[in-house]
Amino acid sequence: MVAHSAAQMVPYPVAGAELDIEHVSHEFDIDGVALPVLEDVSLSIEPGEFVALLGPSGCGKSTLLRLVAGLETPRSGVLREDDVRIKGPHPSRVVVFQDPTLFPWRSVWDNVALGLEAQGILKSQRQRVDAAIDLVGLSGFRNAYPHQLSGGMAQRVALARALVNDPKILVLDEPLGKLDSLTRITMQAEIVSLWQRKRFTTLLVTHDAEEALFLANRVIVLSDRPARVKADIVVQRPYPRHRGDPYLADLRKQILGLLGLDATW
Amino acid sequence: MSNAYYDVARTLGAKPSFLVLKVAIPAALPHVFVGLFMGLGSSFAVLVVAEMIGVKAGLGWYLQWAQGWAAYANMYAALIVMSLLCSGAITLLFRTRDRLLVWQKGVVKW
Repeated sequence: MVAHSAAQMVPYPVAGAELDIEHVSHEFDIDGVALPVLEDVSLSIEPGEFVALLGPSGCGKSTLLRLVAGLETPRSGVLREDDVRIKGPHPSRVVVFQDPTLFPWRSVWDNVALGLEAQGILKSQRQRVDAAIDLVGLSGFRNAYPHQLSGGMAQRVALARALVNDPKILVLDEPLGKLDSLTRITMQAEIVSLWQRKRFTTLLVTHDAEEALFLANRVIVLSDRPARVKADIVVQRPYPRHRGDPYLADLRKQILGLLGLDATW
Repeated sequence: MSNAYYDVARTLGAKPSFLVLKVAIPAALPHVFVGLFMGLGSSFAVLVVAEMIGVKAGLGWYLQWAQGWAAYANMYAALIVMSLLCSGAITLLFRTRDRLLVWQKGVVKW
């Protein structure tokens, strides 16, 4: 792994956890045939780092996230959060999926309260729900139902639902993939400012090189399936970043080259 | 229902009982009401037909009996009672559904 100090560049206290992925391999069974999706993936992520995983479609990025979230266990290898082995889902590692997957029968407030309710601590911690809703700027929509929200608002609610648990590791699975490009740009800036304030460790899966470079301290480029780590790029630029930055443009070209897409650049 | 709901709840710390009571049942409820509505309609139809052929009691039997005696006023009265009972039962079911599934109002047109 590349030694770096990107996580220390921002002067906020770090609340995130360290994440270690050690020699993780995973495969799927499709009609009795083993389909390898991850091959000996090793990554070490510092507390408070913002890491983007970039790779071709279907390469196993999302599978890696599911392993980090504890929704599945790897066929071989170990994942550790602060040196504790990840054995199952835990509210300290929350996932925001590509679809907001809000529960349609719950209002915005009740959706955000879901984690605290599931853990049985909602009664004493109700103010945390209000704070999370304020944080994503939806104070006026507490009682709205998911079908009354726009795509961007729904994804903000999903973010609040994750953040209310004060996660140590926030796992973002292409959270902005389905939003229109203007909303996406706004939300990217919001995610950066939330991360800067809260300083959780963030793992972002995306297939948008520009998004990865705009948000992350570190960009991990994965190969085609089965996914291996192809490159580990540290983005040494302070926040807020600018999309027109020639340094980011160079990195983008380099990344697209790694993905075999530089011909059109 | 979508597995994604379970994934979300599990990553937020939900235990199996929470998954059943707060995720699976609310998610299944709209389908339960569709099933109840279809079941109610067909059971009513079958009941009336059964009464017409098999037994000597019930509105279906009375309908045929009144027809046999050429008591058409009674026959039509029985028909009206029958339709009121059926639509009443369905209205009651829909009212219950509207109350339990308030959140669906903007999602599904009924």
